[in-house]
Amino acid sequence: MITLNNYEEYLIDYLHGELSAEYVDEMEIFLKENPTIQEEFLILKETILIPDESIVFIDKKSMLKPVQVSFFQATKKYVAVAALIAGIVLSIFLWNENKSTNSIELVHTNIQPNDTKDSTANDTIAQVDTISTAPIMIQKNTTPVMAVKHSVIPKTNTAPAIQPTLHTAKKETFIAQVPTEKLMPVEIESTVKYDSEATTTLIAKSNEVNIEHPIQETTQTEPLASANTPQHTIVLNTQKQPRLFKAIAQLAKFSRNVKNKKNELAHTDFVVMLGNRKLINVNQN
Amino acid sequence: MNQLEYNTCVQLYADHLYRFVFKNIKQEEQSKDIVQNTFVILWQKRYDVEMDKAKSFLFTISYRRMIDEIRKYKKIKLVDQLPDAVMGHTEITQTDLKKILHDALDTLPDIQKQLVLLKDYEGYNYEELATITGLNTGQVKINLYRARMSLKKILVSVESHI
Repeated sequence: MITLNNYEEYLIDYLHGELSAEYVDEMEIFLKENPTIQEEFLILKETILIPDESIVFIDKKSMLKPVQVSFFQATKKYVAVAALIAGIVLSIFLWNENKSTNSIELVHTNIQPNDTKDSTANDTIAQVDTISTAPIMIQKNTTPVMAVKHSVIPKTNTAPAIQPTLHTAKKETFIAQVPTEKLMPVEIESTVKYDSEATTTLIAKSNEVNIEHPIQETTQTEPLASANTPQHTIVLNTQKQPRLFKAIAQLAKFSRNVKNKKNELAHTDFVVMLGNRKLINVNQN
Repeated sequence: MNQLEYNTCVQLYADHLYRFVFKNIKQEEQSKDIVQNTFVILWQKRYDVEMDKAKSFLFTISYRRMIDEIRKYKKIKLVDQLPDAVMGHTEITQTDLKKILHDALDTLPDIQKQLVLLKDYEGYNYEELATITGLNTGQVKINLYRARMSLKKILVSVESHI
């Protein structure tokens, strides 16, 4: 119990905010009942010091430590931006890749007249199976998109660039292992699709370059061989896909050795052009 | 405590430490040295000191450094009388009262002065004051009690001179 004989210790605790809760109410009542103690308490309150804010430690910088940020933390913002830009660029590139296939053209300028009648899907298999040169392992899938015949163009001196005779599509697929320059086998799968009179599409894929692109012909190509020699001219109008060109060139090498079902050379000469530049010219013996 | 937290401590507590030390020893350069030295120790022990304990740690170190300094130079002189400038004033302003009080503070024994400064400036409770000063809570209480009574006596004395 707080009395006039012991109040001072309680009063100081009360001043310091350290008086236990059970005595706070008692102290407040005690102060109300004792005005002189109340006055003493007010004087004690005046002894509480107020910090002098004008006293400051000026040179704090001398004690600060440089914060070491890891390379990742320092650059993560830039990495994120770079990744975003790279993503956009990649998307544009891939979009252009799809578009650029239109610039690669496969032109049949001449096809052997004998093929005109019997160039069916089964014929094509027979041709592939009778490869005569080069260590070529061949699988052949011929998937007619529609049940129609392979387009065969009668020999003509005027040699229009493309004259598919059929108005429907056909898809041929070659899978072959062809020796590369380093004698490494390269598997090439090509698909020639004749969609209409005006359009030829080649899909070439190799296990080395993993390519599968439609190739549409559009350009006019002059015959590069005599009228008696069937000729396939692959004209590449872009330099964006050199590996694809390589695959096509391999395909051309392979195809020149294809014989027809009568075990005769198909007499297909391939010329692969890159713009006006001749990349490969495979002449049939 | 990491580097960022250490720097935060510098920004938050350097002024408080300096104010506390300077009010005790009245020596600007020595006060700075003590504060800087305190933060050097904090930096060295940063891996052992949690952020929420940093302030107490800093005041404890500063207090000990300051005591060493006081013992070394005996710069603090006890003042038994109030400064003459205060006497004879017919009107005491708030600024005067503040000065009188701070001058009165210098008349207190070191430990009382330090406890009053820590209590009033930083709001530490008895237990925290005991931790910082190395006293027990009973000693803290009695020293604070004596300090308050002495300061009250001086204030009453000033008022009686007006």
